[in-house]
Amino acid sequence: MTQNSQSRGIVIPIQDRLTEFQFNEPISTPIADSIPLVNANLAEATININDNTDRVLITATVGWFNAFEEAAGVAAATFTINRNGIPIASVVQTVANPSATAANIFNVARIIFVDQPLPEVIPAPGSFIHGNVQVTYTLTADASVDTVATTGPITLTLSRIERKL
Amino acid sequence: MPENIQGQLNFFQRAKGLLTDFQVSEPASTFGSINPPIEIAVAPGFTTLTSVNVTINSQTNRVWLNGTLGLTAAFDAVGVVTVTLQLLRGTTIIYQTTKTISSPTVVPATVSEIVHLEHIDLTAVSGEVPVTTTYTLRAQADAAIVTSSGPITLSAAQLERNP
Amino acid sequence: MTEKENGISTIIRDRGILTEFKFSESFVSPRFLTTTPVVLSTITLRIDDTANQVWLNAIVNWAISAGAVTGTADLLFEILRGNAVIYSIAQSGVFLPGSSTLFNAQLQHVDDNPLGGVNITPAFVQYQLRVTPLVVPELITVSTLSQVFTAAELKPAIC
Repeated sequence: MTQNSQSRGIVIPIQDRLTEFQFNEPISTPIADSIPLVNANLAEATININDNTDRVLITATVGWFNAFEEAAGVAAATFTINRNGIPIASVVQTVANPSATAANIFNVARIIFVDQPLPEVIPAPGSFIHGNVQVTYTLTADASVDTVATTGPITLTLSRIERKL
Repeated sequence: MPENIQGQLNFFQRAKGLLTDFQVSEPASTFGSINPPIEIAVAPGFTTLTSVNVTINSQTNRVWLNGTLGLTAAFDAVGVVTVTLQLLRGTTIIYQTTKTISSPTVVPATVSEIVHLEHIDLTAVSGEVPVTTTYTLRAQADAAIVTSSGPITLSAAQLERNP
Repeated sequence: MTEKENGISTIIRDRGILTEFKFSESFVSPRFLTTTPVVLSTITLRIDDTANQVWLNAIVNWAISAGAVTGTADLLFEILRGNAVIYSIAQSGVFLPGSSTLFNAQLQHVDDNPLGGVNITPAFVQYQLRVTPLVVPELITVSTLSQVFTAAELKPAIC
């Protein structure tokens, strides 16, 4: 009855929750054969979404290097997060060889991005969603020269954050 | 009553939060706060920067580790120095990354850099739970010119398995 | 009946400690850096308990475009709570003559005293992501390209 419900009211604060965690860490300690970064696919993970307000916190951390010859110069690498194949965030980073001595110059890139995917992956506005929609995120790379490569580490994480009563 | 049942059903459908524990060690929060700075060892030695203890309470839990570190290299002339950074679980190396710091000037220069480490540990537990595990961040440089004056942050987020 | 249904609902024990998550990401507002500090991003959280911590993470992508000079430019990336600097990390950008070099600064801080000692909850706390130029030599242009700043309020673990 109405009076009973009111007297037994429970106050539930609106709260964000991390309700699903997916990740792909293909390399965590250095591998023997380096992977060139020109047009490279580095990592992939899939997460379930079932609400328009679901957000996905994406993080990626990549260690990479350029093997410079005996010349000073700059080489660049790009790291991109894609959602179902569409680029949504990227970082461009360079390494510099300061002198005409051959050297491997190492760097570490980190991407952080918060995506709100459901409105983007469901084509018709106002569609009724029943159950989960799977969304796949990939970490890809490209480079300015073919001596840019990685022996790891490569880490990609997805955290679904829901706002629910 | 139907209205009450609808309201109660919301409780059953509400997804559970998986982040159930968060530990951090942050011995320094600002650049220059470690004075004198910590000297980073050269091979074969490693310098331990910090460690964090996590009590794992389920075998299917994951530990999401993030480390962020400020480093400084003091150069006399043009040159490079390469720093190797590792995360350990107990005495086992579970993650390793590499960063080069360089200076292009013939005159002496001090160059600062940042390194971030990110790792998910799936095998934190091999036996009975609960168990307390220690994660350590350490570094080694290939020349004795690297120090850290801060900041140093190592966090460990314990996540239950997905439903 | 109401009591029974309420009793059943408490079987779903939720030990999740994340209580609030906010973020700010911007890819469209590059800022030129010369001598003065520049605030890149701001997040306000509502802190509900003095025992809660805030886990802050940020990345700042920035670039140097150099004339016929070589050297390094030094930037200090900071997080402020209100007007106080609670975290800072330095990064030097190397430049070679005529080069474009690009950098990715990474920040991570856990604020275990978000209310700054004031015991009134709930309270709003403002965090700012700021960059302060330390050394910017002549004949180069230093600019930020994009930044992402996230804040997660965490309550103490329920064991």
